[in-house]
Amino acid sequence: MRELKDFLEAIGAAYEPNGERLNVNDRRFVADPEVAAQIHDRGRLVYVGRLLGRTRGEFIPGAGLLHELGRREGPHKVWVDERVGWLFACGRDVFAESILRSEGELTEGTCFLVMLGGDCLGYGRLESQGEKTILKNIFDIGDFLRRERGLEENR
Amino acid sequence: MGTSVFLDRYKAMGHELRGYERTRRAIRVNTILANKEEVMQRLGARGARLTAISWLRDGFHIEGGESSVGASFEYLLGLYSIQEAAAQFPVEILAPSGGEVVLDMCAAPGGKTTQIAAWMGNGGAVVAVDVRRDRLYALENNLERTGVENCVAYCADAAGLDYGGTQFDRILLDAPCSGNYVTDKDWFKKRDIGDVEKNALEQRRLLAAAVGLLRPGGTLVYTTCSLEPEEDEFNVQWLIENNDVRLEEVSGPGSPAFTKVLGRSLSLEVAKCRRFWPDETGTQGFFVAKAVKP
Repeated sequence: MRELKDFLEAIGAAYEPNGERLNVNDRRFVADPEVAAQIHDRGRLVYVGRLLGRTRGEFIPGAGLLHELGRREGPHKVWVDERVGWLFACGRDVFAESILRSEGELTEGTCFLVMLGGDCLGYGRLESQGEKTILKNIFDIGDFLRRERGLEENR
Repeated sequence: MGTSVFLDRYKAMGHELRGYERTRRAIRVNTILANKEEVMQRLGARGARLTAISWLRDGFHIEGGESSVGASFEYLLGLYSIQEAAAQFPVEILAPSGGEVVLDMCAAPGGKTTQIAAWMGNGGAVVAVDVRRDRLYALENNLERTGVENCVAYCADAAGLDYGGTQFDRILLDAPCSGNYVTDKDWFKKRDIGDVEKNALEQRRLLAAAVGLLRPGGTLVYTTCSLEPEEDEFNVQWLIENNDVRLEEVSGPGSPAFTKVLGRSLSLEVAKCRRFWPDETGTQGFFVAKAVKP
């Protein structure tokens, strides 16, 4: 899982998934043996165990992986307040001046988990935009709402 | 057929319904990622009022609040799910626990699947199956959002999938049904008795398959959100007449199922099942049966 390794390197995290690793189309999973033992028809399998992430374009980590990394010490993190956190969850980028504190050096090109207290809201990459430095949103938990709305519209 | 045909049927069953009863908004705390006190505190701080539903382990009615219940940090973080109160009841009757292997036969969009996983403490294995790919996307989102890690999900007819010889400890058959008007304002326009009878046949096919997949001593919970006896009591009567299972008492809110209805007399055993009438429980219409394979 090269994409996962690259993502973990980019946010400065050490993490080794435990269990059987499985690919279902563009998604990467890991499953306990007891769960993997229930796979008997790979062709019709749509989901198994923990979603590590999706590999379409940039690697998009699964919510479970983000949750776990958010609780660990080591990954680069920035903390924001609730207002900025909500804007981030709505898909917006974070201006550097809105960052309350950070763990990891705030250098361009580095990726950071975006934290609201103890909760991980997603992750982004520090970039320059003109005179401004922003944390470019790569993935946020508001994606669940956008997916749900997409499903409703397609009904 | 129109509204009156159904309302007259319900009246003949002892329930004078108006045809526009609605439910109270309910959530279920996701015990995989949170505890009830934490969710009450966090949503309370946003101005929401939560009232525990006495007959549910993790269910609350919710009112007020500064944001939509489906668009809060806590929802996006998977700390709770939006799940109507009656829809939370079947898994309470199934009562799965960690280490078991459980089958959820018509699983999408996954509210009950994630509830099963929570009851199992994310241990053991839940096999979730649904034939409709479009509805499975919602299930996948729900599994991811709520931190479920013990689930294997398939897009298939649950009666025809290769389970590798697994005999399940517990099976939930939340069967595709006619639904009811409480959660669908256009329901009366869409439904007729022909639909009900067609659904009943499909439900029997799935019931027969479920019994075959259950281990001896295993538990099957059959549930519909239909008020129609053809999909409820008549199917349970068919189940006990044609399969080696015995019914167990379902206790809780609502009423015992009918043993005499629409001109038919059924086994007295059928009264062990439970009916949720919107005018009695303040929920959508629901039916729950519990059977054990000897």
